[in-house]
Amino acid sequence: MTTTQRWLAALVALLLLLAVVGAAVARRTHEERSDASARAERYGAVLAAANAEATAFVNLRYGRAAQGIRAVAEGATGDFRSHYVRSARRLAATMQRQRSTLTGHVVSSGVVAVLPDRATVIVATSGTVSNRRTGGQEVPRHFRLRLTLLRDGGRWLTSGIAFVGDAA
Amino acid sequence: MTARTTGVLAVCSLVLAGVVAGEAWYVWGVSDPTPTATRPVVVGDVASRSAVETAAQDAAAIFTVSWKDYDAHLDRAAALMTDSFAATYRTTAGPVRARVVSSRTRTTTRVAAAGVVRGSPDEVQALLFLDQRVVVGSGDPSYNARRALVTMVRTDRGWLVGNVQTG
Repeated sequence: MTTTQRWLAALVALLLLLAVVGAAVARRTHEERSDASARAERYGAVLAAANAEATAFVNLRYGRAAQGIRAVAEGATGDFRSHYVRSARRLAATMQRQRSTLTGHVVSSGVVAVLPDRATVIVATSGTVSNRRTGGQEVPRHFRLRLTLLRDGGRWLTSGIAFVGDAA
Repeated sequence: MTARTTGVLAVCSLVLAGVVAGEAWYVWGVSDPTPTATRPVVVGDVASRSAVETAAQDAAAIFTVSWKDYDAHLDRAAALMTDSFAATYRTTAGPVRARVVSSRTRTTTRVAAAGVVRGSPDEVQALLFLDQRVVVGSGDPSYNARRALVTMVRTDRGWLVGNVQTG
């Protein structure tokens, strides 16, 4: 073996060692990026589900109460869904009697906590309410909501909505 | 035979050098992801939680103000902000001073809830629900439920408030 070949053999050995170590580092990096990507998509999916449910929750019209209630129920699960559906007839009757219309949109939403199968999201909405009390006039109405969500069959569904109350 | 061995070793060196370069590019050459609508938070849970907790503490401090020490409050609040936002804050807070002092207003703020809206390794936006108790002079307190979007910027001094939008 010539001197050149000895240098080349040493270089090959060094590069082989670097390639093996590099493969391990690259594999670990790939796993971390995959986890981070899944986590990032989870945040997006949770916020999208919470925004859709909050939007349905703050858009109810007395003339189309059934559709509005159905929209909320479609994004809900568990006791929250059962309770909401059970009280739907009473809610629709009250809305009809009061000629209530609630409109709104999501201003902003943020994830409080998220795990692979459950999450908590806060949502700020802005909109209007009109009913007999307001004399049919649209009055600004802003809500601060806290939604709990569960992952069910590949979908994020709302298991609870609570108002983050007025300061007192 | 000798020439062939040399050639094989040289080719092996080139191939392995290419493999190592590819691995290095994959590990260090790919830039950090940026937030999008479908991936709004591209920073780890620990970092985002730290930023949101700091945002909540800082917002409570910034929005808790008394006519008795308004000037000292401005200095304390500005220390929690980036230099550029502190300058903006002082510009907008200055004219408020006369009204706060003349009406002897005291505002106490607590954060009722906080969540992360968007997040990258360098910048996190937090949604805060603020409960405020306001006392004007010796009158009865009034209560406000507000929301704030607070942008936190990572700096050498830690997370600092880079912007605040209230509603």
